[in-house]
Amino acid sequence: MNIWEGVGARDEAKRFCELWGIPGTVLVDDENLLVDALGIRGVPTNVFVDANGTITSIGAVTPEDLEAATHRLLGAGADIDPPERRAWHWEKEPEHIERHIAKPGQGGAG
Amino acid sequence: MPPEPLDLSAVEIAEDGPACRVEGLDADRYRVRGEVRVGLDPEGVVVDASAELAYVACSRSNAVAVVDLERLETLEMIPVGTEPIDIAIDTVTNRLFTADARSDQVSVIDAESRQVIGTVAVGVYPSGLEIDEAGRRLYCGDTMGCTVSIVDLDRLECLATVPAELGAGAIALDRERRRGFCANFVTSTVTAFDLDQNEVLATTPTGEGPCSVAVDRHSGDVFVVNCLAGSVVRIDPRRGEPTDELGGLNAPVGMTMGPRSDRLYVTNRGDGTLSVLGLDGLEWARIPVGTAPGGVCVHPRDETVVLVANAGSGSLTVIDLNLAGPPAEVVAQLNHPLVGTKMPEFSLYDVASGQELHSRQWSEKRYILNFFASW
Repeated sequence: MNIWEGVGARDEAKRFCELWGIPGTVLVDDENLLVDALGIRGVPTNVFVDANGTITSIGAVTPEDLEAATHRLLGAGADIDPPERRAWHWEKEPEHIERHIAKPGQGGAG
Repeated sequence: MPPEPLDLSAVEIAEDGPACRVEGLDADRYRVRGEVRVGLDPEGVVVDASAELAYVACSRSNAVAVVDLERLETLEMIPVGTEPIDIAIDTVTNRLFTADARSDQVSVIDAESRQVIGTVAVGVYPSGLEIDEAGRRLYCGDTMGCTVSIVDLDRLECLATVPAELGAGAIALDRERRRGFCANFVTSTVTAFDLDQNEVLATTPTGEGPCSVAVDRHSGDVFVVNCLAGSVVRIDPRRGEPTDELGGLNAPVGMTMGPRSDRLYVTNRGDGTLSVLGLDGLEWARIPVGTAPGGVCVHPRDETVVLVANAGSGSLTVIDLNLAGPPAEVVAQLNHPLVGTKMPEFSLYDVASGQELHSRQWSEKRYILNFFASW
């Protein structure tokens, strides 16, 4: 859920996701509708929702908290990403970042 | 249908887990003097005490906001290069410098005329600045260039570079011991360098995501904010390793040392607060500011005034402090008021598919919404 971009939200969100290798659904709340409804105060913030549509946690920023809240949502035995699969994409490929840094007149990845 | 906004203004919010605690909140010991609208995504902030003005680098406005601290209003926007992230002031010449990340340059502004009088080419994606007025040098962390650019403050030219690492950004100087420190966000290290020889002295591992650094001028110890780890680590440069860690922060981003070297001011981008961390290892206060705060500075002539740039709300918060130590009592943790309630419905544009998606798509599923910004 991309928020608070200020300028070119859809392009900036796309560029960011390409830079960090983030796949899947990326929603853009450029009118702060959900931000205001949930009282979001900062980024990143994670909101956990169960199968009944009930919010089970809000927050959980550090890897440890994120893992704990995910286990609360999915069950203690749930198979979530092991640490090696969470390794930062850009630690391995610094040149990948450089390719995606937008320069004036060059256009960005988005 | 848009969800109904809730009034959370009177609610102290603490989310799950130790990273989101609100402790020591004591409104008698601080007062938010005001919150001034500036530009888009403000990051760095400095104060010109002689004019009672604050200057805020507004990265998505490509401009510097000039804020009158007495009237609490923005007087003017000074256009600079693309994406100015950090800002510094040279009180000798009354010039301002901005790190224009997407222009690979530093803009030089004459504070009196409020005009850009020059630019200096530096490394790729500059994002952190620090000035040594006596030594007449500006140090600039080049995030993608993996260097620290050293600029002559009078000749306005880049004299040398010091190798740092990927993600080089925030810089702090120990002027007495003639050492500089650069936080390398991507490699989770701090590069120490010699201010006279322009040579690397050491590279020290920190925690994950170091994005701000400060020096205790008395002990020479270095403090590093680790955004991803939610902590501040203390490093003894003589030992070249962290000696202490204070956790429980929420995506901390900005940091500055109090003038007495008895406390650190740390902005929590994750929950819209400013933490006052005593060097005694205790959190003295956590003060609500604007959304997604970043840059923070102390008024040079009045240590009781602290300014915070809020990237999310595009504002500058001015706070009056009356803190001499930790609170007498710790405020109890509170759960977020919306935990246990129904998730509001939403219908929003999806970047990946180019379609508008409605929340009913996820009905009867368990899911996590991660709120993020690209800056």
